[in-house]
Amino acid sequence: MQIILSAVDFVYNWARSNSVWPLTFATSCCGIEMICTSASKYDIARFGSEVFRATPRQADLIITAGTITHKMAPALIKLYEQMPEPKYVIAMGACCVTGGMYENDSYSVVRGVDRLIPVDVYLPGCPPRPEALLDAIIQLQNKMKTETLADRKKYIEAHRPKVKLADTESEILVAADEIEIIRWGV
Amino acid sequence: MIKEELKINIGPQHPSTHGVLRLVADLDGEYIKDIEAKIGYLHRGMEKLAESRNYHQYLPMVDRIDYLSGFFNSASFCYAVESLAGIEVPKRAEYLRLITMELNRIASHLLWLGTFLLDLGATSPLFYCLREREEIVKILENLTGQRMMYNYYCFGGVRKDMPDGWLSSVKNFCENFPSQIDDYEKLITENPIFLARTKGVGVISAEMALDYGITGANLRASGVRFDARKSMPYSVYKDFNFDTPTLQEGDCYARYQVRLLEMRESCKLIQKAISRIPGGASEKLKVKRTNCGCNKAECAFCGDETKIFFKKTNPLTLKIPPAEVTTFIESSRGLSTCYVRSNGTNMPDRVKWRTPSFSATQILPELCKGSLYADIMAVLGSLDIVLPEVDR
Amino acid sequence: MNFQEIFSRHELNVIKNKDALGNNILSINKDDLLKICELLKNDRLFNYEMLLAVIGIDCSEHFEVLYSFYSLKNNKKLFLKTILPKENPCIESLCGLYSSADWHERECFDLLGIEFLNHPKLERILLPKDWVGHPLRKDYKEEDERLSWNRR
Repeated sequence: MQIILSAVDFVYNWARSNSVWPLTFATSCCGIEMICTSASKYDIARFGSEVFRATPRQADLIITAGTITHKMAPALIKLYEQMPEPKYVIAMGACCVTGGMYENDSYSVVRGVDRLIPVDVYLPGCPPRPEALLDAIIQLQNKMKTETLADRKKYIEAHRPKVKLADTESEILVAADEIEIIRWGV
Repeated sequence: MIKEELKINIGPQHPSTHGVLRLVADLDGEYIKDIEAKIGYLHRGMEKLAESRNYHQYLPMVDRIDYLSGFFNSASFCYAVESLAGIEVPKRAEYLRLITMELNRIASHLLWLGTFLLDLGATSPLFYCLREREEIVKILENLTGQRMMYNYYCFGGVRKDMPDGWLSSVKNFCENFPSQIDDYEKLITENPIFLARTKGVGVISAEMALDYGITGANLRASGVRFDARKSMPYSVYKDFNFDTPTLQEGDCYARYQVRLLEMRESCKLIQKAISRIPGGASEKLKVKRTNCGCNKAECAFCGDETKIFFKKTNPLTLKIPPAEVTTFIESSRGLSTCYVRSNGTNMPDRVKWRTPSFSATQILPELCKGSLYADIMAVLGSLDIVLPEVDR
Repeated sequence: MNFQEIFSRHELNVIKNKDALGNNILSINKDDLLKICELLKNDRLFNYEMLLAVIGIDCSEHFEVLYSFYSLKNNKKLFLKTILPKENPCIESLCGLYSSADWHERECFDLLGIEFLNHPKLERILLPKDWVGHPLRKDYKEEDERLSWNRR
């Protein structure tokens, strides 16, 4: 039984990891290096990311490239919640890993995107070179290949955001004990 | 008559916005009744951070305000502090500053062209433009060590001299570049879809542009010939003769044509600067310096003109007496000003950036009222807005 | 000294200084602001068509607001400086004369708390709507308990 399951796991993970489609999420300077990675010199399509999807409903990876501020944070969490399982996050750039050069005294920058959503691969650099982003994609592919179908429930339990809106009128996030879907008013 | 009224949110994450800009549009069918631009999604507090750092500690952060024109922001801050503290810059450093600023202008316009056409639906020009931009970025990486946030200027000049063979690589690039622009023109300029989407769309009249404080290529495409490199010359721009292309129509097509002409002018300007730089290429300068060895100030090889900086400044002791100054620089998007006020310590009291994209985002709702929904992307792309500059 | 002649003809008090690069800075009373700006825009001698920036500064005992004008016809730059009290800083808005003043004044209000009278829509522009405090003031402390999850 275990041999059949591990063979199925191998094929399932191989298929998933070699066609990871990211979401177009570029806030700041790291976004330009992401665009350069998808251009012809450092082609990201040869690693499986053939297209960058514009809608989160069709993406399985979000590369948070750029500084996240308090005003942008609810939008990021809403995008993350709209992605279907199984989903992955690469925190690209120093601003997403720990807050970067704004970590010391900026009043409006979130100090690391892992205060908002769970992160799979951390990629430091300011900005990281395109080759470094390709290295992060390869690391993520190696991580995907070690997952098993039997533990899927555990992975879904771990993928929850950690903050929620203060109330429906507010634009500021507060710490959350339970999960709540973020509503966005126009 | 049946009205189809709808309120649409073009949210902060959208593949067609040049950064995180949120537009809330009131639609009546396909026509826009009212549109509101909401900014602030990238407000990092750059101006407050300056008050708790040295002048030297703040200098690497300045590149990040507009990451596509890092040299221009660095230049405005450096010129401001140099005029407050009375620091002189040697001529070779000024020529290096000019060459790097013009290379940066070409790189910024190339990325603008690629993303503008990507927003309109054409995917091939992006790859061509990024191929040229990678060449410029490689040249600048050989000089400064970084692809995007250069951190190359320092108070009093530039950090280090060019490596061997750098000047000839710039010369080769400038010789090949005009034929590449011809290729883009063949592909884009007479394209009927491009003409239909941009001719007559988003017309800015000259009075409206002056009222809203629009500068740069957006103003030059509306008939006003204003270029800060000629009206308020800084660096060594007064030693050069160059054109400022100006067109009269003021629509998206005119702004596209003005920027293509500006790229050609920048290329010619770089070629002239290369032929006149004091000391010439660095490999020849080193040999001539060793042969000459006189160390006199007027000498053409070892003198004052061929230095990179006169004196290094100390971050702990650069204390500037209370004064204020504003510098005006023509960046790739328009007129960018930097206001610095000092208070006698080695930390600035107030730094304020007035960026050209702030005014361009302010005029966007006025241009889109009454037009079709699909015209928003054409206008937004042609105004060359970069959001980190707007929000700082 | 053309400034002094024209301004004294209209009975306006103006003091002239220079900044580090030699540009003119005129210190004026805050009540004379609208009259002076109308003169600057419409008078044939001045012709300042562009308002480039509105800069708010927090000196420890008072606020200062600096306006930056540019005349294309004569290629001249000009700065106007007014001083506001610390307790209730308010000044007339220039939105009727120059459309570019709209967002610049909103940013000044957002970051420093300076009120602009008769502004069409004075609300926060760069920070979230329910932010507490004005960050660019020198005595600003981050005391919002809702943001305790973002502490260092």
